[in-house]
Order: sequence, then C-alpha cells, then structure tokens
Amino acid sequence: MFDGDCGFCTASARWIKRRLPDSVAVEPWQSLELEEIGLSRDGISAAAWWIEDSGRHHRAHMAIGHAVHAVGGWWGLVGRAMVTPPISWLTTGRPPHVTVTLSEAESRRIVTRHGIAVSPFVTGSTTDQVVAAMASDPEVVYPLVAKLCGRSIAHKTERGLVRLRIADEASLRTTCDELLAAARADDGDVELLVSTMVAGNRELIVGLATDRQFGLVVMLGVGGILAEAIADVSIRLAPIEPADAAEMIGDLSSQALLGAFRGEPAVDRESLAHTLMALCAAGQAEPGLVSADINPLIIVEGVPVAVDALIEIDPSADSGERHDR
Amino acid sequence: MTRDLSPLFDPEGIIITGVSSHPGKFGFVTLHNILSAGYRGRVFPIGREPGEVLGHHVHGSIDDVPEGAADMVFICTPRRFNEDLLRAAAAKGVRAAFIAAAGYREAGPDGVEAERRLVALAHELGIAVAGPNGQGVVSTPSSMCAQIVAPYAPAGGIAIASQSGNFVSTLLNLARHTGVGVSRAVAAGNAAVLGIVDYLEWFADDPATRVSLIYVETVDDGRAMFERIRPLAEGKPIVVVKGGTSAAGARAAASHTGALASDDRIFDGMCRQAGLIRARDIEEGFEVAATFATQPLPRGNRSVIVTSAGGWGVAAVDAMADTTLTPVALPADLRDAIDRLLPPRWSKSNPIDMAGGETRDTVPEILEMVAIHPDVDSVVFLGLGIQSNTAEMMRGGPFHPDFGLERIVGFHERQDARYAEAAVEISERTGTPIVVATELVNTNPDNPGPAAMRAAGKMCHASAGRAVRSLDMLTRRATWLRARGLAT
Repeated sequence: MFDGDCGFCTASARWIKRRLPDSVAVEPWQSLELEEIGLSRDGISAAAWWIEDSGRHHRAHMAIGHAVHAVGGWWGLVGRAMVTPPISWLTTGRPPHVTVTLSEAESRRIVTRHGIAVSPFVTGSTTDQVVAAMASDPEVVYPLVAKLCGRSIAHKTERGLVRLRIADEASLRTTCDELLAAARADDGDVELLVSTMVAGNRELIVGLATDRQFGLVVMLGVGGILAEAIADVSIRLAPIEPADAAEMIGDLSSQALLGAFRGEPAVDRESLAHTLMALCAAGQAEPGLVSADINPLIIVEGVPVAVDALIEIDPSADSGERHDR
Repeated sequence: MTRDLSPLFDPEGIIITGVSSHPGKFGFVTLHNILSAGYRGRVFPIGREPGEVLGHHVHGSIDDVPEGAADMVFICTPRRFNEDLLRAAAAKGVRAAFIAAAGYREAGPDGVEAERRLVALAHELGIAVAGPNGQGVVSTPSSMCAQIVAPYAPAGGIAIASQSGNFVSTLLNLARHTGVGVSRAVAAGNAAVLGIVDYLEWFADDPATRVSLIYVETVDDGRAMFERIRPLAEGKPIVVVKGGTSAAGARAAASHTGALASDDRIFDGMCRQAGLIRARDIEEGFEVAATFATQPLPRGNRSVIVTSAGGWGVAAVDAMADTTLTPVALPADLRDAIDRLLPPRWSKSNPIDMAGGETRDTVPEILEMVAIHPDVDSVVFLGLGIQSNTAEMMRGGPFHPDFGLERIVGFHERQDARYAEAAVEISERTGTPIVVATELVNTNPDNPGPAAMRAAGKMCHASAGRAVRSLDMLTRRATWLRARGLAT
C-alpha cells in the first residue's frame, strides 16, 4: 500500500507491481478502507506499508524491502538485505536512531520535575486506577479533562481522545471506559491522563528545538494553537540567563497581551521567565532531548500553567555532549 | 586564544607576489594601492619580469628579500605557485599572508583539495593566512591599502570584517562619503584559516578600533560562533549585517517550536543574546557602526528632538514609535528656560520646534540645555544646513554680492558650521549623544553644516528616521549592558 498522491511512491509501486506475483495487491491507500486494515491516515501519509496476510504490518523502507524480497530471484536477496540491519538503516536515508515522541504523561512528568507548573493531573492504565488516584490527590478537581495518551498517539484531539468538562465521577468512569475502548492496535501502550481544567483567556507556547547550526534553542510565542498565524515569537540559544529570559518576554510584539487583560492580572514575568529557564534546564538534563513543546501554556491568574506537553527524544544520542561544544 | 594578527594589519614590510608592469593586473594594482595610500613600511614586489614597476625594483624571487625585512606577504599569483611562495616567505620571517588568488574552495573539487593543503601549510608554517579569494586588507594606522581594488578610507574607529569582498569596498566608500573613518578592513574571502570571529577577537584588543562591523552570509558552526562572540560583545560594540536571510521564509503549517523557529529568527535571537547589534542592510550597518564610533552611549531611552521646522520633528517622533526610544515630555524647567530664548511661536513641547525663531546663539544654547538636563538621555538635532541652503541660492544668484547678500551668505554659512561644531562638542563634553540629520549630507555635501560634521569625522544622517534608528541601536546596547551589570 502506498501514497497515490506521491510521484515517487507511485513509480516505485508500479515497479514492484510489475514484478510481484499476482497474490500481492499493490494499492494506493486512497482506494482502501484504512480502518479495516488497522491503519490511520496519519500513519500512511508518512510511509508505504507492506501488509502480510496474517495482518502483520511493515512500514516505510521495511515495507519496500519485504516487497522487493517477494519479487524473488536476485531481487529477493536485495529485499532480504533491505530489511536486515545495517542495510535497513541505510535505506532510511538517515541515521539509525529514530526519535521517539514521549506520551503527554511522560512529558508532563519530565517538565514537572524541572519546575514547570502543569495543570494538576493523575494517570492510570484502567478506569479504577484513575478514580483511585484522583481520590488521593486533592489538587485534581472537577471539572476535569481526560485524555488517552501514548507514544504512538500524535493527534489526540483529531481522534477524539481528549474529553473536556467532565463534571463528576460517573461521567469520569464512562469517559475513561470510552477512551480505553477507542485505543487501536497500532497505538501501542496507552495511558489515561486526567487533569484539572484550568481556564485563562491568554495562551502562549514555549518550546525547545534542535537547530543544525545553533544546537538547542528555546522559543516563546504568543497564541497557543494560533501561534503559527500570529508568528510573534522570540528565540534564544539554550541555556539562557535571567536577563535573556526577561528580554525574550520583552521582545514579543504583543506586549498589551501581557499586561492586565479582560479582568485578569498582568502576566507574572518572573514566573514566565522561570518557565523558560526551567525548560532549558530540562533540555540540558534530559538525555537525548531533541525537542519539547508546551502548547498551550495558559495564563491562569497571571501565572503560566502548562496544559499539554510533548517531548521528543533521540534514544541513541549521547546525553549532554551536544550542549558543551 | 586570540591569533596575533598584527603582522597582517600592521606589517613592518610587505612582499607582493605576481607584480608585473601591466596596470590591469592585480599585482600591479596592489602595489599601486599600497604606495598611493602612503604605506610607510618596506615593500618588496616579486615578479617574473625583472625591472622596475612604479619606481620599485621587482625581485625575481622571495630569496632576494632580506631576512626579517618583511612580515607580511600579499599573494596575487595563481594557485599553483602559492605553496612554494608561502614556504619561501616563511623562511624570510613572514608571519601573515593575504591570499587574493582565487581557484580554491569556490572552484570545485581541485580547489577544495588545494584549500585543504593551504590550511595544513598555514598551520605547519605558523602563518596567519587571510583569504584566499579575497580582495585585501586595509589598515589606516599603518596607512596601508593592500587591496586588488579601491578604495582607501579615512582613519577612524570602525573595524570591518566581511565575508563579501565587494561589501568591503561599499563600506569604505561610505566611510569616504561620510567622513567617519575606518581602523581596519579585511575581506575574509574563503576564510580557509582566519574566519570572521578570529578578526573580531583581534579587533577587541585593538586600540585603534571602537566598534566592529561584520558582514556574514554563512555560519559554519553557529553555536561556536555564539560562544566566542558573546564575551567580545561585552566590550566593544559589534554590528552585524546578515546576508541571505530571505530563504528562511518557508515554514510548516503547524504551531510547534520547530515550525516557528526559522533560521533567521534563531540568528536574530542569537544576536540579541550575544549582544550583537543587528542592522537590516549594509548601508544601515555602516550608519549604525558610524554612530557607535562617534557618539557616547545614552544612559536611557528618553529622547528630545530639536528641530528648526515642524515636519522633520514629526517624522522623528513617528520613527521612535518602532523603537525603544521615548520622545519624553519636555521637563517644565527646560521648557521655561527655552521659552526665554525663543519667540512665543515655538512648540513649547517635545519636539522642540524652534519655528525659525533662532538667533545667533540660540541653537548651541538649546542643545546644551537639553543635553545636560538629567531627564534627557539623548538628543536628535534636525535641520542642520538650511540657512546655508538659502545662502547657496543667494551666492549663485544674479544679485550676489550686492544688496547685502555677501554679508548674509557669510553669516548663514558660519552659523551652520557652528551648529555642527556645537553638536559635536556638546555631546563629547556632556556624554549625551546628539544625532544629527539632514538630507543635505547627500544632496549638498559641500553645505557648511554637513561639511563641518564630515570634517569632524562625525556621522551626519540623511533623514530623521535613519538617525532615530541608529540612536535606538545605541540605546538598546546600553540597555543590554545594564541588564547584565556591565554598565550603569
């Protein structure tokens, strides 16, 4: 199965189809019912897939490798080589260390450990665990937001895995059951995350990214989900000093948004500076951290509170070395 | 560790290779430029044809140069000769080389290999190598114009290092035009051995340099550049112009850090963090550097505009809206004091629009009152030269020198020269920057107002907006230093 909108994919698929036995169907995903074969649009827009009769899936270059192997003869050997390390690494066209995006729960634990305020939350693998955890944590209060998170779940909202305004335990139980039932085979390990819903009119974004030239950089922007359109951002190289953090905040164009706003107090610049510095500290300390996104960072009574977090890790990276060049 | 570049910028003697009698060849032009600028050290032209060029004996080989007589070699010969020439020069005591010759990294795989060998040789011989593929080096303390192109520039406090050779010429031409001079200027060329930061490190300790101005297109290792530049910027100001920024426009359509962190915004953030002053283009870069070179740093962002007519003042206030400068409300005691000097039609607020009410000493007196006032951090002075502009028309008209025109023309011209001198003297004495702007600096450069600024080696801006922008850069610099406890 391949992306019929992609010229290279289509050409490769045509090459393979000419050489494969008739028992193998080569189809653009646009012509298939994805749910039936257990794949999502997200998964396939990123790669070609080789699906065995048993239902086993192979992704990207591994898919091409299995396909070439199935052609048989000399090509079969080539295909066998393509699915066997280290050739399988070469065919990815990048280093063998593929980055991993930690689940929101894992990411939240990391940023919390470095001193970033997050909306109070508990986690659990089952509905009962979540309800019990809630009972023992007085900070997690109704109304709640419940999410199903896992390393393979990149777009929770789009898949309906974020449920808002849960008012009582009965709805919490129903919601948790529904979320667990919504997990799919390719989601891997999943976890329920339940947190207090915090409210504020102002949303910011803070994050870390790894730049080819400058290494780890820290970013502050206005707008949460609208950040891209507003494009009011300020960037520094991590780590930063208090003066840099203050200047990052002062460099934003939307200064009016940082003052007293719609009945809410002005943004506490020291807290925001602390958030930026804590994020840099996380970037320095967490082995292999490649990027981090806290989006949105909601201003609650003037104080920034993270309500989502995603950290990307390169598991093969040598920790620390990058920042000390 | 800072490389000692004094043999490159202040050599006792220069060997020039590839000198011929053909005035179109680089060797000839370089010898010509070195001699014309008045270089006082010894000069040793090397060429294939024996004889004389420009009154100097051309040696057939570096072997003819006395031991220790030259510490710099300027190489105009083609690539294939240069390794032997460098060895011969090093044997004579040469410690720095400028390689103008092209054909290195920029010229394909052969060139890449040649450049690799050049770098290895430079390390082996312990020679500081500038270039290759560069246009040359200028150093006014040594009256040296070792360049394959023009121009030379007046002496002053700006040190230039550029990844583009022709921008060195642009900047030197701007120095000539404005009268704000240059200490050193070097085209980094391929920067095989010496890079922009190596030059910056040397400029930092160079007593002739007050401000560095760099033009950067590519950054090999941004993190290393940042780490080395940040401590330098705590001392002298560094103005940076970055070329090739527009390609950074493409961004993914998702709101996450990676999508928002386009290359140019990272570079911009790096500049803010390192204390680099970033200019939009080469012309602004020169103006900002020239302002740093010729004005004290302001203590804060409260600015007062002094103008002889209303429109210019409005333009200055508008320009301040995009900056960190505040057109501060005129302090009451200052307003009362000025009120005693001007007829009632003056603006009585900031901008101080004198509305043509000034008499012989009014402008210097008002500039002084404003500059010494404790609630004013900087001054923008607009309208210099308008009296002389009138005088110029009178002088060129059919009635001069009769009808009292000779006398009034002379008065006007003396007045504008005095205003310029007062602006310079008062800012130097009080430590309050006074930036000056008039379009006459471009349209009528001989007007006694801008001419006096040029004669004093001080930047005169072409418009209120440009003066305000440069002043803002000074103010931001002061803020940056204060935030880090590096200034009061």
